[in-house]
Formats: sequence, structure tokens, C-alpha cells
Amino acid sequence: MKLNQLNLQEALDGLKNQLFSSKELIQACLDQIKTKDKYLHAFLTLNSQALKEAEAADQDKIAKPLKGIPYALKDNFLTEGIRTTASAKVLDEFIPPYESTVSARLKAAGAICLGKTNMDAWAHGSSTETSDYGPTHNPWNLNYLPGGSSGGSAAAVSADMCTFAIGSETAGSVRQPSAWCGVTGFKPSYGRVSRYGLIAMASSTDSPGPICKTVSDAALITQVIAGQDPYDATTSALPVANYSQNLNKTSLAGLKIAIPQEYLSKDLAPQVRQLIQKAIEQLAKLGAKLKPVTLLDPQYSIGVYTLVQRSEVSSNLARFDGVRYGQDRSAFSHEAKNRCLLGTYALSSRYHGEGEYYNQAQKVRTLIIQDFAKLFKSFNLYLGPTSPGPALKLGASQNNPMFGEMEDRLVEAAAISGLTGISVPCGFTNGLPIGLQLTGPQFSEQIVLNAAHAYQKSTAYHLLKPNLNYD
Amino acid sequence: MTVDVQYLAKIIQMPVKPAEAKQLQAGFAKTIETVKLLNQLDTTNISPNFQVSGLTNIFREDKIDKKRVLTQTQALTNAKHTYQGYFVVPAILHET
Repeated sequence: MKLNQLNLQEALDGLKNQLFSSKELIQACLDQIKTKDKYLHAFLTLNSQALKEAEAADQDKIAKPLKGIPYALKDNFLTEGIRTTASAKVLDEFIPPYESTVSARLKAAGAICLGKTNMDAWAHGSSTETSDYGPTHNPWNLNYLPGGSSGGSAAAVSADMCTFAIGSETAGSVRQPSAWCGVTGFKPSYGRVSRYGLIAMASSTDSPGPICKTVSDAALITQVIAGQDPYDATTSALPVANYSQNLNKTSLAGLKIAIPQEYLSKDLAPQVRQLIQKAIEQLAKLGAKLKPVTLLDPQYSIGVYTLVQRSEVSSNLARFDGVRYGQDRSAFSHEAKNRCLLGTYALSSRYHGEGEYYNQAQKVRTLIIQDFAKLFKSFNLYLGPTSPGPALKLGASQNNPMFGEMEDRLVEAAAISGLTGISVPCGFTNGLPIGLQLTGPQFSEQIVLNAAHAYQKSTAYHLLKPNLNYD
Repeated sequence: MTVDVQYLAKIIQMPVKPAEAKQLQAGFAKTIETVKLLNQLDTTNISPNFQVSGLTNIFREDKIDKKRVLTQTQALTNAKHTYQGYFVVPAILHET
């Protein structure tokens, strides 16, 4: 096995036992990027200092949890001195003067940023096709989308260009591309990981999270990036558990998992339902108790998310005026205009009397939160497919103003309620991966990770790799 | 009331060409249709939820955190137009 193919635990063990150096590990990833990224377009900017940082890591005698490990960072996290665009031409030349909390914590833990990954511009989408720099391609089939908005990060992990990657979710942007690229994507609860230095999309749901080769890796990354941050007042003071060490302590005996029937509705791709059924049987074998339940139809979460997100986007993108940084507002592309204008419509007093869409959406948000609170009185988690189907072909998002919302409809309710959830590979249809989501109450990270870890240890879908011989 | 794209574009200073406005308007109709489904639900006596952190009144000490402060030079690094250490902004008042 090549060094770039190692998962995080394997890479850490190899470095610890001096089987290879960080420099060799970084070089293997850079070689992979050099030969494969011309087909995939996962990266927008590479860190020219990565090898030097690896040399320093190899000399560093201080123990650090991620020392010398290469990772890929979504391009909406600010990196001091490294261009950060959020895949938007407005920020084409933007060099941040400070570092995001997530990347600062990873740096302090010894991880080395290889570069910045492609995404939907401003994270507005679920395809990575709205990037102002062109789409990322799915490593399993270049004619297909990687999902999004963290599509570059998911493709980079899937194609072994890095040991792990960081993405961010507003509603599904970590879990959905992970599902479509056949990797593990974890969304911690809203408030668990700091948003400081993350270019704001919808501030009331933005949640950074890791995209990894295994659940165990996601546990380790999360405990490094999670925790209260004085620079983000929404972060919780609850202590961060040693998610990684606690993983093997519990079995699934006694774990109660709900199966919302609305998440297995008729509009799923037929093979997706079969694969989820198989996953249900597997979890039952592991000792979990599973039972069908009824939840509010996820179609309502589409409306709530659309309204809330566009309203918050229109406010957040107001700061990009070309005065302090970036191009002026004529550089915005179509999707950003679409969202800002619709958000302005929802918030504008001129239209306010007509339907009061925004207030109604926030009331329905309360109904969805109450629905989950009721569910979690009797269950620890719920499950379903992450996405209604496998990856779609390139071009699918074009001329579809609701593409993202429709593709993310099975994860939106959780996102607007601040829950934590994971997507793990659970099979394939026509050579494309499918993801299983396990979702739990806010701050139940350990329970979600334990269940997903137990499932993953008993299956081999996460070990399958795409054929990267594109020539 | 139909959505006036150019009016909305004007209040958020987003340049939108006429052909694009037409395309955006068509997209809005589809989006608003989805949003209208929310009116099917009874929300009588339900309070709106604006944030899910569960936190209220988070304060910090009223002290300058030097680690977080940008120097004047750093703050100006990404600006296209500066003058003697200041940002140059577009004029908003004009002689008539």
C-alpha cells in the first residue's frame, strides 16, 4: 500500500514506529495530487510550504496528536498567508491576514495543510458545480458530480490525495459529498466546532466537520477541532470527550435506532432502499434495537432551510463590497445573486405583509425541533440514506434553483435543528457509492460515532477504492 | 405581488442584467412554491426559533485581545484602493 492510501490511524502508527517520515508521507500525497488532480480538480491552491513543514515535523521532538499528517482544507476556511477564495471570483486574490480556529487547532496538533479544496462558490450548492473555478469530478466516475458543497474535500479523500480533509456543513455539505464519494463524513452538532474564520454562509447552521477514510479517524479529528472558542460565542462550554479512545468501549446492545418511514419514501432510487435495509439488518445483528417511526415529512425542512439559508446568505454576503478586500459586487456569479436576492425578498418589508414566509419558516423550524425532541425521548439515533440516490451526472445542477435543497432533503431537518450526524459507506449501485446516515441529538457525538464505528468495523464498503486509472 | 428583481438588486447593490433578472424571476417562482408548502402546517401558538445553540447572553471581558487585532498594514493588505493608511471608499455624496 502506498503512503497516501493510509488512513489516519495507520499513518500515525507508521510515523510513530518510524516506518516512514512525514516528508515521505507528504510527498506521496503531493505526487498523487500531481498525477490525479488534472482529472478530478479537487484542489484550488496548494500550500507551497507543505514539504518544509513536514521536514520540521520530522525534527520536532514534542508529541502532538496529528504530528506530520497531511490534510486538505475546504477553501472557505481562512488560512493566514494562503489564498482563500470560497471558490468565488470575488475573492480571487484574497490572502487572509489571520487563521480560522479549525485550521489553527489542526496546526497546533501538528497536522500539515496540503492545500485548499474546491467547493460550490460560497458553499451555495450540493454539486461543487457552481464553483467559479469549474467543477470537481467524482473519483468513482469522472462523468459524475462529487456532491457538495465540500466536493473537493470528499474527492481528495476518496482519491487518496490526503490522509483526511475538512469540510463544512450548512445542510448536508459534509455528509452528502462523503456519501457520493464513498468516504466517511461527520457533522458535529451546531456549536460543537468553532466557525471563527469560516466564511459565513448561513450562520445559524454552519458546522465544520471532518471527511475521513474511517469513523475512527473522524473521532480523532473531531476531538482536536471541537470545543469552546472565545472567538465564536455560539460554541458550547460542554467538555469534549476523548471520542477516539471511547470508541471501543461500548457495544450496540441496548442502542435504540429509529427508522423514520418518511426517509425511505418512494422517491428514493430503488437500490438505495435495499442497501439501507441491509444496513438495518447489520445493525440489528450488532445488538441495536431498530423500529419504524413517523416523523414530520422532510419536504417541510426543504422550505424552512431554503428560507432561513437565503435570508442569512443575503445578510452575510453584504460585507463583500470590494472596499476592504475582494472584487466589487459585479464579480458575484449567478447562484450567489439568486440566493442573496431571494433572501432579501424574504426579509424585505415591502413583501413582508404578503406571506411572512420568514416567520412561518422559523415557526416550522420549532415544530421540527420539537418533533426530534419527542423522537429522542424513546430513541438514541435515527437512520436513513444520506442522499436519495447515488451521485448525479455533471450538469444536473444547472438551471435548477432548488438542486441542493432537493438532494439534501434527508439531512436538512437535522441541520436546521443543530443535530449531529454521520454518513458512512453502505454499498454501491452501478459502481457509485451510497451513504448511510446515523443521526443523534445535539452533543451526542460519542453515540453517533460509536454506532457508525461498530457498523463500519463489521462491513468492508469503506475499504473499497475507486479505480483512478483515467488515462 | 410579483417579485421585482431589479428593486431587490438595487437595495443590496447587486448588479443584475435584464436577461438575468428574467431568469432569476422564473427560479424564484419555483422556490416560492416550495416555501408556500409551509403554510400547510398549523403554527398557532408556536414561537419562531432563530438559533439552536441553546445559549443566551454570552459575554466576554471588555479587554483588547492583542492576538486577535490586525495591524493597520495587515488590515489594508487586501484593499485595492488605499490612501495614506486608509481605505478609499466609493463616493456616496455628489455635487449637483
